[in-house]
Amino acid sequence: MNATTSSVLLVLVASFIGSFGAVLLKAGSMRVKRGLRDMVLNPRILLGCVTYVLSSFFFILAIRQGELSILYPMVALSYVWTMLWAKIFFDEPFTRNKFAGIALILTGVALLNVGRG
Amino acid sequence: MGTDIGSLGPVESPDAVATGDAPGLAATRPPGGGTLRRRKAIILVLLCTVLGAGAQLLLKMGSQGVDTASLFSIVWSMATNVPLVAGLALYGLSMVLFVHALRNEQLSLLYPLISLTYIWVTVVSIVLLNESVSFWKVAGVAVIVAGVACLGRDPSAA
Repeated sequence: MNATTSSVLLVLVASFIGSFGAVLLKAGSMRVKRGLRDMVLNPRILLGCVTYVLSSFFFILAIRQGELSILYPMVALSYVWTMLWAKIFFDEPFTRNKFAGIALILTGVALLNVGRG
Repeated sequence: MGTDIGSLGPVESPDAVATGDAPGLAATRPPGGGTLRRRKAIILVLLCTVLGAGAQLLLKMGSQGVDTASLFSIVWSMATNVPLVAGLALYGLSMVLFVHALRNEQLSLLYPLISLTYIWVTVVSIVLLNESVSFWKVAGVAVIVAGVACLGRDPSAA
């Protein structure tokens, strides 16, 4: 079996959680005035790092079984979530390039799953 | 990494200005940046992609030693797993280097390069982990690489 359905689901969970890491880092970075100390002690940035660790936890569980060459590229789905949060939380506009990028990533992930079945 | 190194790009580089509709990489020019500095940044990002792929290989190797008997055993077997910890450290290092490279160069130039990681991971998986090669797999990765590169060319990404 190339990659089990549970592995794919775990990657989806990992990418979903991981996308909030970027949101938290962004929210934190907007409050950092200057200096490394300011950054390291920022609760949002800290929480963002914890989010990445949690996301890694699920990703490692995901790649236990199944092919890395199928599961790793699916991590790109985190870009899709991130674009959504960027729109919702930071009011960043959807543009033609973003739309095309998301469409291509979704198509690529679909192709990988066609090959899996 | 349930997320990707590149997703940090737009977050960490408020000073990076992208020129979205530039016809090619050569057409993008950093504000006051020289060719040498740009070359250094490109080499640094290429290094990031190699380190990122190495990290994935270590994570895959380490993941085989995870004990899933209980939540505690999962956490413990992960925290005491040398390849896993090394893989996470390598991943962290590649992220720091990427953010560092972004300080000196335009996002639109460096960001598409990050998608090379997908190509390295695919090659490493097939050559070193003996994973299968199929049309769908190669096509899927190629389309994803194009998609990630496309996002990086976005003028509003910075």
